[in-house]
Amino acid sequence: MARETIVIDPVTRIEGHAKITIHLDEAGNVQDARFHVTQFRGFERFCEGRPFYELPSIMARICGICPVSHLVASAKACDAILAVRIPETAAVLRRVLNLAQLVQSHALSFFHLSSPDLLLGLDAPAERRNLVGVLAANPQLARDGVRLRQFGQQVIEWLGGKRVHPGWVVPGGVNAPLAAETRERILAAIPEMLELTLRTLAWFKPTLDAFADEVRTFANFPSLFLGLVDETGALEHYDGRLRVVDATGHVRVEGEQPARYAGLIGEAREPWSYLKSAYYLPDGYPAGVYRVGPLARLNLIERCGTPRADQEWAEFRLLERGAVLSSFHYHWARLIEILFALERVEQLLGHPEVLSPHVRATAAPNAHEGVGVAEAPRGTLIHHYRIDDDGLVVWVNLVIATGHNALAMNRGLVQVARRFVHGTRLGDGALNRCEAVIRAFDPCLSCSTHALGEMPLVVELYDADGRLVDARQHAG
Amino acid sequence: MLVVGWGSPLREDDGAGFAVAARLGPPAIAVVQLTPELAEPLSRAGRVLFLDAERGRAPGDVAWRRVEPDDAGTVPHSHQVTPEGLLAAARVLYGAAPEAWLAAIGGARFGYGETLSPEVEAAVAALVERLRGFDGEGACTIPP
Repeated sequence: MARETIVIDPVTRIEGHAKITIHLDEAGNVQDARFHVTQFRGFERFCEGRPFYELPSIMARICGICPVSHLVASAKACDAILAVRIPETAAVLRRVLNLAQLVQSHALSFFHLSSPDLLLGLDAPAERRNLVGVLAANPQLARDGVRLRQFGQQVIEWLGGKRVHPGWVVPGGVNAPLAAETRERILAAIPEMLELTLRTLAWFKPTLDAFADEVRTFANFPSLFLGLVDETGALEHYDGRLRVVDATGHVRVEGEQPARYAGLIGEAREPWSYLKSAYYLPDGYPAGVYRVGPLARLNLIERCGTPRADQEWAEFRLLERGAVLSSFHYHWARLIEILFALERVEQLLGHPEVLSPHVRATAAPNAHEGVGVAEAPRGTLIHHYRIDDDGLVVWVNLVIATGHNALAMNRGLVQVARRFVHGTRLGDGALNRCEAVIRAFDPCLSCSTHALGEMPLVVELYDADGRLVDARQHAG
Repeated sequence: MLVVGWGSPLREDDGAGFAVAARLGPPAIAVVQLTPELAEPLSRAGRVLFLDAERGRAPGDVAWRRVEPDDAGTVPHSHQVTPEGLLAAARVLYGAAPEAWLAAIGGARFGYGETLSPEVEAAVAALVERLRGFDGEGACTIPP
């Protein structure tokens, strides 16, 4: 038979627009598969010429899900341009805001976007995956997801003034101190959030037995893992140093300053996608596959640093002797990170200076270049700016979590397609799994291409002569 | 009565529903898009009024429609949460779905911009004036 290609367009329940193509050889076997990101916005270019101090509020507009991450990374890059050390209280408050966003973003991914897969299984036909059907399958789980999202968004609103695109984080710190009343309101809600997160973990872990095939095939391969860790090797989302570990768990890079990321990371462009593919520079392209985000972070660390999260992390790491390699376990890792974030916020709000009014350092630009790095929900986020003598931006580079994971997502897609796509027609199970392996990474294409829009995704199937022979999509 | 207005305030008349709710202020809810967590406050409301912009209707014209929960499960589980899906979610998750109405506000312009067209601005102002006094059960005379 001729070589053929299957198309899934659009891919559903991810953040942005994309499609999947699956290419078959003459024998009808899957030869290749690609995750195409089909939208473009170009923030890196249109920020050129703007005053640097505007960038945090502009960059927050990249994404409606994780604006806080861009706000924090951008403000840190501006801190570097100012060459100031921000007040300790400001750093504590930025951490709280960043962790609140992690809670709401992870809750969206786990409880809303992935819950049909986890509750109904990956062979469920599309007609069963309606909103009411999914919610009714486990109302308690759905309610817990709603509460966690509410909590995360409420904390962002209390601190930043609004839930989406808050402007509270500024170069040099934050623009208002924490009110004692707000501190007490957040602390009062944490016990309930911890309880429902632990309840979700208790529900989720036994369900893994039903997903053995997916655990085995969802981007389950040796790769590197990259992210921030703190000075003790514990889980870190705001500061710290870059660490890279390999599939056996051995450290390849230790203690690298985030500002020197360019020595570790290269970015390749392919003509079929607006998503840049990051790779580990010493290993070259495309061999330098690495992963970031919750799974990577839990593979990098020596401990989380909070009691309950450490217990869960210890159990998680028993999955493998080295690094946990299956990307299906991003889901579990997200739950552990939610637990950590709640415990860490409680710790941070107990800081003796958390209510201090000294929350901002001021200065004129003292450097022409600044790099800001933070851990966004989906992984390491890098903002890198250069300015001229007038403080106007002349160059911007953004390295986004989804770009770090691009090569891994493609390899995972090939792995899933080879296991589940048979012949030239896509069944529900194959369609669901092609989408679900991408969804496990929780890609955000608005961030990664700095693009606008929703994320329905198409899967296309092509023959050996490049002819489109099948295309399917779920409702967006 | 709970007022929920949605739309993008950066896309001219698309933000008409958002504008009404934002000008009313809390407890009215102004959001860029409907999200699942709205099911919880909806379930506690005796009555809800959704406000949204609508293409294809005369600019500033307001159409009133009853909204029923999607109990049959025709709303797909996706990014798009509709008023019907939210009401069903409120019933499934919290045991109650309020009587609900949608006021669809005809829009003239849906480009980039933070101002409403004159016709939509007038309609928004009239809706705000009319809804401002509705702060409790039994005070609502919607639809007209």
